[in-house]
Amino acid sequence: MIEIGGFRTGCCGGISRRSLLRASFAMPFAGLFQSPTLATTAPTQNPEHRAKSVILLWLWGGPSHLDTFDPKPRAPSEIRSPFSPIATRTTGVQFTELLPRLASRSHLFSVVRSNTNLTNVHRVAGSIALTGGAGRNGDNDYAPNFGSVIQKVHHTAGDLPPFVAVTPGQLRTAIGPLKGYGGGRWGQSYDPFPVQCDDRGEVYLPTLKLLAGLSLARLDDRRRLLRELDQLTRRGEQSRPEQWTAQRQKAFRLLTSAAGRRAFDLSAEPSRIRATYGRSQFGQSCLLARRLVETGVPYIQVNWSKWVENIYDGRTDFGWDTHWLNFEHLADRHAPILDRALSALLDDLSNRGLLEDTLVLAMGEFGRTPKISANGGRDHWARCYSSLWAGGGIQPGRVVGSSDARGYDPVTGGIGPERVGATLLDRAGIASAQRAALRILPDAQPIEGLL
Amino acid sequence: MIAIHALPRGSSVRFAGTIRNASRSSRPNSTSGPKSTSGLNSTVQPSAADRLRGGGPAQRHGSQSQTPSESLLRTRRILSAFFFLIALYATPEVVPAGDEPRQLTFDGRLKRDPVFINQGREIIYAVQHEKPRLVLHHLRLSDGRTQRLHPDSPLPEFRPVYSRDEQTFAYLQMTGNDRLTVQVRRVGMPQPLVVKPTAAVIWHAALTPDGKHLLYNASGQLRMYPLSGGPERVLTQSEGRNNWPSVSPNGRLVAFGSSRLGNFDLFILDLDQNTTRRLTSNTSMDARPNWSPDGQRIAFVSTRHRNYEVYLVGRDGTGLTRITHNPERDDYPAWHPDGQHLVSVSQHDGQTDLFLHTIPSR
Repeated sequence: MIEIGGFRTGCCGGISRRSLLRASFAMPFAGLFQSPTLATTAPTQNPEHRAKSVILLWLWGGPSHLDTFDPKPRAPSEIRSPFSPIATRTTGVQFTELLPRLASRSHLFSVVRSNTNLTNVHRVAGSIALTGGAGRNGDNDYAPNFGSVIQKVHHTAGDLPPFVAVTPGQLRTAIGPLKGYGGGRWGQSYDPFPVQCDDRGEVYLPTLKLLAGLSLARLDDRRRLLRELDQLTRRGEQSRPEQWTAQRQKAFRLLTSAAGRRAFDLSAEPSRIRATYGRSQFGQSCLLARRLVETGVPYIQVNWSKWVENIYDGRTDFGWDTHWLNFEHLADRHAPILDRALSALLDDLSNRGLLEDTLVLAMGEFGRTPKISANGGRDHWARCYSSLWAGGGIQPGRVVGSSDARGYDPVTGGIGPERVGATLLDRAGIASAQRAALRILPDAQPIEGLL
Repeated sequence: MIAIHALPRGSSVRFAGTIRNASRSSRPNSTSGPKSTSGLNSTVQPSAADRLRGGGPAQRHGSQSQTPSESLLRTRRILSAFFFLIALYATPEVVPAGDEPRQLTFDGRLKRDPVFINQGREIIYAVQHEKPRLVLHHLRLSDGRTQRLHPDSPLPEFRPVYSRDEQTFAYLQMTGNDRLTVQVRRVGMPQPLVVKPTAAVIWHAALTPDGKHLLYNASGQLRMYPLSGGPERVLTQSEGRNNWPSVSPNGRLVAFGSSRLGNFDLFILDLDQNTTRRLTSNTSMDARPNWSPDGQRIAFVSTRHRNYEVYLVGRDGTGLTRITHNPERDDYPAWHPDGQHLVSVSQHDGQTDLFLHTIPSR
């Protein structure tokens, strides 16, 4: 049922353990007997191919690159991760033991180990990472989010909004909200359409919170629904005319469309598939993203958390900002959830033949200090970090760029947010000429090694 | 009354004040899931949780009369099962774990830090919640009922620990941006004692059995804090990280994980002698040690099979035994007071719940 703007969906049940056993047992050993030329035998992608959809997994807070995709086991103890390196399916490439599932699927994606950002400040670095550049006039003049650019070019995605943010709330830190989350200088009409998805796979549409008492059964009565929405619209327009109208129109299209409602109904998904993503907010959000890809949404940003902080008061939702307890949180919570959900997403897209048409990018706004702090954590580090790329014409099974022996700096030339943005938009079919016309990253070059 | 499914012959476990001896009729079907009730002793009654889920005692198999071919087939099955069990138990590397684990919770949400209380009749654990995101729950095993321990608390709470007499109870609470405190409650003490022993964020608190000291990890080193006041004792000053302290039942030894030699292995610190010895040596992570009630064995978690699994090891480092064989995560082992069972937080089919394991005797 829908309650205050939410689709209440069923829970998992009756799942085949055998299928999980097959998948989980087979994959970790799949790479043991590979030939040394595995990297060259990974499925290739046509670089001319363009992604119909983009999924950005936004790891808000900045994951530690040394404890995930770029271990430095030979570094001194004050730097190296306490988590052991493990072999991946790509010859010569190691991740830490916290990511065994992804390690066994490295033939599906490539990793960039030489990302850089311009600042160590969350809100600024986050805005830059999501838009490709710093604001021209400070904090209030950011370029539009990559999703907003795609929204402007693609206009619509049928009945669904072209830029959907699956998010537990508006991205923010204890200091304030992230400015680069949406339309920026293009205005609110290019903001993402926010959708919330909890660990049980229940989906909520915050835009429709005014519609208390609306049930899914009543949504089938389209005329009655429109009548009720019209009444609510009149009330809403009196209070917040512009924003309400834009969001209302998106919500109208969504709710009055069978395809739209179906996309958000995770209970329609086989329980076996739901299980593979794991029963976490991030896992179920990744599954929702895949369903949105299937319905043709061109840009979906899945946010790990609303808050950047990993320890907070009652607002805690366990971001990646691990100044304290970096190793404890990674081992207990963050890495197992990410490893499972992202692996399931890649498998699912691949099995359905969607990965070729879908670009998947997982990254945060920066990495974390190689040197372990006196607090026993790692602090902000924008000089070098990692990102994961898959599908949409990205060549899989590669490591692009490298960091120095201690993970402080790239040794192959840093890859900044503008090149991340250029690559993402290029893969989405927005080439340099079109970007120039939009005044979006006109001079930035895509990351060659990925293509 | 709670039913203990498929216990080894002659074993006894006390739950809800009732001692039930169970004789094993057969091993559960190895293909059945943890929720399966197949292979149970037919005299075992379904628990309240089983009844809610539509489960019940196993059906008696067989019929009043059998044809010769049916009889032959049955004999062959029995012989096959016999030789299978012989082969299984003869495997030298790892002693097979007990029976299929029994599922204790069914909500599937993320969980951590279970601990038995009240002579094993109840479990306190932390579970994912809407707001705050992490709350303490109380599970009554007699009827499977769960409820929030502190329903009015607006702050995330986790890692509950008790003294042996359960007169002292402590847990961690997230109180602000990068701020954690230990809340200590004692019977007869109206207000909790809020412990902020150092400026550092502390993690994985543990109590000594007498409830007089709190052990914790601060900035990667272990410390012991006297709850009655006085200076805290620094237990480790090593390279790497030291975490997950667990105090032996006699209060003299502390098992913990440390990356001082590279990756996380288990170590034992003698509090009287102030000496440390290595308990496990493995290239993967060994973590979260937990002493058995008799002080002879330690349950822990390891990724040595590329997945979080629960193991046992003797206090002298011998007798390594793998308890869980699950392609998904098994973590947070906690002993039942009888020393014959432990509970884990395990994922099955993507759902995270508490599972009760019968463990093999040495």
